[in-house]
Amino acid sequence: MAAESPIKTSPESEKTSSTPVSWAWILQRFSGLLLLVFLGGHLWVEHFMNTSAAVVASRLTHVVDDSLDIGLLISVLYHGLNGFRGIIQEMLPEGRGAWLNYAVFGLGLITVVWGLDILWAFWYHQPFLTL
Amino acid sequence: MYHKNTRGYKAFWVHRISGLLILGYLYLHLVLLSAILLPSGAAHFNAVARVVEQPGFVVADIVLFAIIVVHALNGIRLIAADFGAMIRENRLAIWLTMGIGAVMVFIAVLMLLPHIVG
Repeated sequence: MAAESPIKTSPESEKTSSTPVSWAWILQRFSGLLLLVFLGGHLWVEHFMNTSAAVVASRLTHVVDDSLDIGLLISVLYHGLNGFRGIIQEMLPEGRGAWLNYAVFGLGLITVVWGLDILWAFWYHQPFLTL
Repeated sequence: MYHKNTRGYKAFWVHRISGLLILGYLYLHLVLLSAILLPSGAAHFNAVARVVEQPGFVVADIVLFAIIVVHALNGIRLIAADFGAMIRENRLAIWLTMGIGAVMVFIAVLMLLPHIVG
């Protein structure tokens, strides 16, 4: 399960290694910790008010801001879509949903390209892929 | 399985629903930012920026921040539980996340109040 395992029933079982731990499980927690940094930083630097295309473009001339935005884009999509995948997976009958991984991965890939195109538009004052 | 109506069960649902709301907001955020992808994107982007700085949207920002804070603090509690910490003190851990969250949201309200009341 993506968010919290329902099969752990006692404090003792938490401390044993009998529960299989998947990479998806570990990466969900790791990306969550990354988000504390990336999303915290994003909210801090954006300042919310008096923004404009010029302000964003000037902010994005700094490599730290670029890294923050690209890191946030990738980690938030991994974390959010992996969580979403877990919820849908649970609603499907056992053994079903092999397609789900591909569908969610595809959606993630499209969204990363979408987000990068927005950043590209701020960098070069026109998008790589135009609407 | 969790017994229904326990704290852990409620926290589990709060974590799920807040996560889905944040994912939904992420796509809304990308849609609004996509104003920059239109022809003469800078002008469109600036127009969108003026709209979302209205007081009603700032209140919505605070609600969004509260949802993110709840999800993040509960997530930290879950990671701590993975390492065996604060499991017996589950009740305290949940109250602690709510207390710290309330303080963080209160600070956000203080910071954004000038943009709400003008």
